[in-house]
Amino acid sequence: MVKKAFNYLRNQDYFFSLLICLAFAIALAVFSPYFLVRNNLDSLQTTIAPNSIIAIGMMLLIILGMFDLSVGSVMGMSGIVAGYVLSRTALVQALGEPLVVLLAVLAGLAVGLVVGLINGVLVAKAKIIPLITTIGTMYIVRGFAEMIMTSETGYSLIGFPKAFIDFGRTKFLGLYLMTWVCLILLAVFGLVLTKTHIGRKLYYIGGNRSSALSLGMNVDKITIICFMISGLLSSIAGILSVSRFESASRYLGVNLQMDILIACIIGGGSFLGGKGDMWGVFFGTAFVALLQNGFNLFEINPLLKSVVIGAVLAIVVAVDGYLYLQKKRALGKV
Amino acid sequence: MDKQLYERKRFKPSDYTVFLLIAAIFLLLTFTSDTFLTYNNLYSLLYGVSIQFFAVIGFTFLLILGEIDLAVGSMYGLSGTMAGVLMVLGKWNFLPSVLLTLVLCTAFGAGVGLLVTKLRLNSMMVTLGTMSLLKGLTAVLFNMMTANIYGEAYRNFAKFRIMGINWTILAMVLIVLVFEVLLQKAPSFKQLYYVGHNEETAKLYGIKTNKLKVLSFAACALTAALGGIIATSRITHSDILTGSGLEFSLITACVVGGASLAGGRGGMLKSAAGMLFIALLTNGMIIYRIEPNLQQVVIGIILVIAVSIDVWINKYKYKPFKLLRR
Repeated sequence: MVKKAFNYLRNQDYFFSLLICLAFAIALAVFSPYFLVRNNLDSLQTTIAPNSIIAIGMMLLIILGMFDLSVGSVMGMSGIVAGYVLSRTALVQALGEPLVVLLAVLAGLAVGLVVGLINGVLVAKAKIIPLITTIGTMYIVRGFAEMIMTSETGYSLIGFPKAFIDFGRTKFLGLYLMTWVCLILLAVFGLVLTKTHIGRKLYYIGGNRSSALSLGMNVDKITIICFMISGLLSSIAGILSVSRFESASRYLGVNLQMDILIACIIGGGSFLGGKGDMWGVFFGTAFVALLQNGFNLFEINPLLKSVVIGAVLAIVVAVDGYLYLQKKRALGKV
Repeated sequence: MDKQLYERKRFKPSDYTVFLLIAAIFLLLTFTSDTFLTYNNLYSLLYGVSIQFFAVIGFTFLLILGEIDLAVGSMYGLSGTMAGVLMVLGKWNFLPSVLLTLVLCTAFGAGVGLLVTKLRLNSMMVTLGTMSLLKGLTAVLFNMMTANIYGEAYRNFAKFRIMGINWTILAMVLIVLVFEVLLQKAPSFKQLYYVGHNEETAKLYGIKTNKLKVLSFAACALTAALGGIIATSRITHSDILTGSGLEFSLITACVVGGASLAGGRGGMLKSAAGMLFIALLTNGMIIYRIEPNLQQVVIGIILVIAVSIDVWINKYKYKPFKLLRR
């Protein structure tokens, strides 16, 4: 029974991330007395939950053979937009708290949808490669966010309604509500990917684009929808983070796209498309979060973090490419 | 073959747009601003372009090959800081520290090239990783030596003048002329275009594509490092923001100048013209007091437009996700 379960796991794409994640968690628990402490586990949740939510959208795109680098900027921008609506006291007095919170959330989500739509149309219709498109929108959205935060308005984003802050603070069964949102989203997208026709289409397009086209699949439409989902999920993560941290920061989501990409690739995705699942999203983001947690727990110079992240990404890309090459060689295609 | 030759001779709008754009923005700024057409403004503009131009030399080779190095901006930032650490903390002299920095950076670039060619990786993804890696290294080195002004020899490096003109400007003119002729006429340089156009065919004709790619990656790292050293020499100290976002403006400059992300197009003169266009644009935005953050937005929009036009013009041969697939 155990052997059967192990054999099953070993054949999954996420096996490597599960293994490395467990190993890292055990190492941290053994070597650091502060790892299994309430506060540390709480702060881990606030990293893993938003990152996982963003990584869901990224994984959908990676399955398609694309990616989105604008997620970090979108996360920051939606947080700022939501914070802007929430901190208008005149609006709160006129409309009442619940309506303003709803309005703020909708405004935040609109940012993600619009940026996702722009990304999707540029990639699918204008045929610009995803890297250039999303680097462009990354800088553009970040530029707007910086512009807001360095102007007068930047100082006024305080004093949010109580209902909004309570949402970030409340725990249910020991987990923050944002963690529950994340788990629900993971389950929903996991089911969609494995059980539905639409989910399987993504793998098909990622695996062989030209045959998907010749089968009459609307690849452009699916691409645009996936980019919009990615933007929407980044917005959700941004709004949840703002409600947890009780402020809209200009540093929210800076350079986050790297962490997310690495998480997805470690979690079994491949830049060539056609691979990846929601278990991988969770274990991948958990691994990256644990890595950062390790830096904090052992008081290693935080500047080294981006060195490690970059090196991990380069190594992961190299290993991914090597395995692909081996597979091709085994088939005698190279 | 005949058809291709014929197409080469045909008028291609993208070959000349950059010069028209430069003329247009030059005239616009001349007529709408008093401070633009002064010797000091134009000279400092040209001086700034000539320093950043070093980074675009190797980058152009890579774009012609159809590869890309996103770590070029990070390399630009790292080299100045690294040379500074060797000089200030290692008490080395000016020349050996600069030479060692250049050698290390070139070796790193060659390593990336080997990784890309041997494992047949997508250069974009590998250099996305090395970009983050080098940025982190720069931050670590930078924190070791904050607020240190570099020695006299280093500071004078960028200021050295020949006949009253900074040597970097003269070097830029010379390099543009030499490489433009080499890329048009020399067989070994023309191979870059063949590989960029069609790698499989180039291989069949006996061109050593892998060797070319490794050399180009090394050249890109070398020129970026040289540019970074001159840039830090100009501002007399190391700055954490040196080269941040440079890869972005380099891609924009090259694509505006008529290079294609699909490879096989572009040239040294056009890349330099693209850099000049971006510099003029930034200069104009500074004259009109547009916020730095908004400047980034404008350059981002121009990049997207330029790439769209590139795709639109090259529709007949452009494969949408060529760079993403091996």
